[in-house]
Amino acid sequence: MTLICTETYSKQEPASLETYLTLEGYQAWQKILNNKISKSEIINQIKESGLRGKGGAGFLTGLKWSFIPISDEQKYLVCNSDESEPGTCKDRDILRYNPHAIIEGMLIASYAIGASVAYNYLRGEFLDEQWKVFNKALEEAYQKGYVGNNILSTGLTINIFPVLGAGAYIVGEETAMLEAIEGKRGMPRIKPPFPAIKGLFAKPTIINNTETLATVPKIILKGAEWYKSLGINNGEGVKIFCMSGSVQKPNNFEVPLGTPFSNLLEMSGGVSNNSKLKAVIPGGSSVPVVKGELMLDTNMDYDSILKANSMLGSGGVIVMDETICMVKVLQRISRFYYGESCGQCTPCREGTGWLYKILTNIIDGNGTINDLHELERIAGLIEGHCICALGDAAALPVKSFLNNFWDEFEYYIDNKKSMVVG
Amino acid sequence: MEIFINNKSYTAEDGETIIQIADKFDIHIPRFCYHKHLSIVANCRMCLVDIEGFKFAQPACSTLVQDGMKISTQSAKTKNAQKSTMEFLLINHPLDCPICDQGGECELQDVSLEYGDDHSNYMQFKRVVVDRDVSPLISTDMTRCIHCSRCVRFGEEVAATKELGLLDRGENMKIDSFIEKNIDSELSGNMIDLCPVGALNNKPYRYSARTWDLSQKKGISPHDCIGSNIFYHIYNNKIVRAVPAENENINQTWLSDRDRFGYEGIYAEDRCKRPMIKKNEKLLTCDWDTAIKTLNQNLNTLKNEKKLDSLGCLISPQSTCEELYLFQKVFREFGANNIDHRTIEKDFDYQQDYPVMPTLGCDIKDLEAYDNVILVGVNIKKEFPILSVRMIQAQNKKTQFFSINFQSSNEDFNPAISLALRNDQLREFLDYLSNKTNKPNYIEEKMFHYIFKYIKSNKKNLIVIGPSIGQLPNQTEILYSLNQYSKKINADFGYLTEHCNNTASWLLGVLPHRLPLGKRVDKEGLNAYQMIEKKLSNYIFYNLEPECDFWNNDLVEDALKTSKMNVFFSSFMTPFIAKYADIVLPISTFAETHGSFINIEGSYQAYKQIIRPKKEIKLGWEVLNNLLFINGANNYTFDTLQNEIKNNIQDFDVTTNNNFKLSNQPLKYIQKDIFKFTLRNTYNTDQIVRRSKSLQQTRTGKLKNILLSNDLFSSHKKGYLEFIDKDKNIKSELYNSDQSLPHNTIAYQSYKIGDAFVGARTGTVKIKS
Repeated sequence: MTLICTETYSKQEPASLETYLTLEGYQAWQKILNNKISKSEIINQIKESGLRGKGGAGFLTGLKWSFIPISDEQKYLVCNSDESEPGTCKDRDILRYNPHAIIEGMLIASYAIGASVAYNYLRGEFLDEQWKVFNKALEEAYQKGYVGNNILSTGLTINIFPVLGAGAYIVGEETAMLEAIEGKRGMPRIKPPFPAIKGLFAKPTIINNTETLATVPKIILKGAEWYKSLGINNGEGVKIFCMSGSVQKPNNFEVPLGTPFSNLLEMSGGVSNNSKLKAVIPGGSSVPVVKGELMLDTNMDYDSILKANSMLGSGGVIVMDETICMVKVLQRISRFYYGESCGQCTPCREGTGWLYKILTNIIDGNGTINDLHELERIAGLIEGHCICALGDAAALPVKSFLNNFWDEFEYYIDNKKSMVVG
Repeated sequence: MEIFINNKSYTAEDGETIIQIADKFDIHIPRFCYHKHLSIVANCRMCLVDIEGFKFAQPACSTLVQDGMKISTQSAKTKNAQKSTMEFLLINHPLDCPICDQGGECELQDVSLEYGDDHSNYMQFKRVVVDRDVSPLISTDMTRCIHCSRCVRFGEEVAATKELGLLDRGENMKIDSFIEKNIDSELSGNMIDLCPVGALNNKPYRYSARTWDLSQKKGISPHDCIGSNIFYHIYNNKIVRAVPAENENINQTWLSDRDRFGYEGIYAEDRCKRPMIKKNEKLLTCDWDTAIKTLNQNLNTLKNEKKLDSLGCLISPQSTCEELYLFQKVFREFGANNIDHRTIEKDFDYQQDYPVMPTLGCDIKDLEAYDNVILVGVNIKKEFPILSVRMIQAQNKKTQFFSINFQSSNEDFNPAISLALRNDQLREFLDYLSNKTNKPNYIEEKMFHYIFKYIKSNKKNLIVIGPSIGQLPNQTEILYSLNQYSKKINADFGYLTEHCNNTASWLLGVLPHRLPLGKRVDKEGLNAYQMIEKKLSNYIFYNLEPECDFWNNDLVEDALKTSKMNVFFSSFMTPFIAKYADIVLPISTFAETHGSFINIEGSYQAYKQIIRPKKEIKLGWEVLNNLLFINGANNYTFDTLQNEIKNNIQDFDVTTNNNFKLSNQPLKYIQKDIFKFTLRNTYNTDQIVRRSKSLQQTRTGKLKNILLSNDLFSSHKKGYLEFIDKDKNIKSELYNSDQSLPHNTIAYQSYKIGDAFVGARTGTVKIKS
């Protein structure tokens, strides 16, 4: 199997420059510099490869880069390592085991969009390990002259600055991240204007996910066709899936898009507790839940999961077995969005709390059937009415959990206890 | 381009938002966070409207119009979106309208009438936010807050002093001040207006009336020369609060705290309530007839004995145009020549060449057209807070500000250079800028470098002279040097004056050397300082507080002691008046009379009587008119008086007015010993704000200490300060150091009753070692 981001994971000292260099590290970067490959050529190559953003939205990376206006003004690249989506832990490991791929990807992206300054925004919880590893790698890259002023004596200048967050989920939203880097309160901006036109410090800015950027060097080195051939049509290349929850061996797996979910489940040792598969959240807690039997027939690519009424999202696959209480899961998810709403827009600020409070009421045994209709109604009022997607992220799970597991909720209300044992 | 709202076609410009078009054509879209003078954040989600082609309703405040866009403000999608927002806003709102001062004028209340439900589905506990006392002017009930963030954006964008911010997140987000700080901005009251609910409310007004019981009268601010437009709200013939009246040319939708809360001074305890006459060394009440007759008799005796040279007639430039005009007319009819309004000045050598009326040199709204504005002797934030707003706007449009004052100015905008100079240094500095000879060594080289780089004659420059210059003993010299410099850099020349009506005082000839419209007098009288210094035997004081409104209150007391007749037309009974007055005539304040002011850009603004005065208090112009009438002149009505003034000034051209050149170069002033000057404390500038209780409770209002420059402070070891001012010794323990003062300088914080008695406003002083 072809590994890209996770290539170094199995090596001794995976994060070191030596390890990275033995795996064709920085060769793409040197190829660009030596052959003076033009910016448009790089953007075209990424476009052709079909590389999609791996943070959640799945927007075409090459297309995003091409939105940057051609002008002399300052431009910025921002790498989004604020990985906070519950169930997602892929960027955490890339930062930990393959930081140089991120650095090389950031350099190539910065070069392609004409940015001389790039930021890598790490979530605050990465302080202990990933922050240190990334900084050390960056130092090595600076020493080798891959980054900084006059890169490898070509006269090119790209400086990379790591930024540490302070623990807000919402800063993972790209425009909130820009606010946070500017030193302001992390609250999403109104779009338009889009960051590619008016982003960081009001200058054109591209924001990419860590995994996306870490994939870029190999595409440049081996070509768009090679990358395309790894996946399927409209699901080009590979993707890391973070298998967690009721599985025997939770782990990150980098597999071609289109891999059947059943294969993934097998790779992670099957369902734990000797139980059956009940439900799966296939792309991080914000996406709708899918029933187990449907999921077993679904392949892990954008179109297939959409057909199952969910989204591929960030690739954080949360597996739930028969012993899991769906009411409690939904309450836990709602509590997360209640706690993480930035408070800017009315529907999200007030609505997320309302959802959580009703669900808690049900858990406490004080719920009524009317509460379930109320939950659906409130979720409908939040959806589509906010500046950013956090409101939707809080509403979608509520709708899908009720939709798929209404009986379980009803049972809880009638019997004041969970349908499942435990 | 053409857009459609509710199937009707409207023309719109590129870059306009839906809400702007809707407002222009009076199509109602509910909103909370949107305000035309603040940035767009689209966070309340109240203005969501249905746009064809969009799956969800979009905010009207942030969505730009596109050609052919079809918007519906009435469709089910719009209504559902707006109703859902309303439902969310109300779940945590306390709905305590019956005990909320905002009730009746609450935007949330208004909108909920249309979009709210009659019952709530929300069955959980409501959010409660703990309040803190942040200001003596603003009351907080933050549980009512709907997080529109208008107050935060006001601080960031309009006042440029961020005192409120958003803390915490999600449902727990709250508006609060940082690190438990107070709200000290001179513009803080605007947050009361901006708050769409009852979270930020007017503290002095709190629980005094219901809004629907109030009546509204328009007035003009009497507290500075900007002439902000105000609506006074009246309950039972009492002003209970003030809000801005929108005027895009002057104060836009803003009001300074001084203008908003200054009216409280009208209700001070020391108002003069009845006419009084001194009999047997005692001041006793009498009726108006007796008072006027006695005054008239005394004046006629002076006239008959040809002793009018011994009469000094002084009036405050805070008086209305009508009062000013009649004042000079009445006493000129008697034959008096000693007429003046410039009671805080000392040096009058400039007066022959001075413009007929001092103005700003441009319209207030045009300040942003200048490349460079050089502020001399003025701290905008403290002295003209409402002008700060304009200057911040100008700065955002790339106007550069240079500030030269006796204390390096703390401004809300960022002056490129802020210099603190003594009065002697100021001239040397200006002369160097003009001639480049005798370079002052106390100014850093890079400052000059910067000044010469940016202030050039091919740029649009404005020099603004503040009221502190007028207090200097070498005012003429500074004006001369400034004039030289303005010619050199081809700058417009403008003034900011001490009071709201200095403009009219000049224009209407309340001067010893000029009649209305600058006509020369036959016989020039004494100026204000000479009248006091020469200890005349008769004085008329109009609207003046002898303790606070003069250049040197010691000299005033000396003069009052020795004179034979002291007549006070006054609204307030000060200790000096009680002690030295022979006749006291209680007159109206600005709010109790019809009147008019000419603001610093030359706009004539009239207003009608706002409240009726107490029974025995007469309107100032009526008393003056009465004096004219009993001497055989025509009886004015207010309208005939106002028309006469209007006719007089209608042909006066404001624009060509500021060109002035001093004919003689003044002698060089030499500063001996320590330079002392008096700061113009924001809430101490006139007799009404001095008496506003709320303003005096603010941090600015409480300032008392004498300020010493660092060098003086460090060489002074005693626990108290003892210095010799003229020939009297003054001791004070209330002093501290201030690093924004130039070397060898002492600044008095204020000039008000109860503070250290300070003698001359500016000059020299010696510290006793």
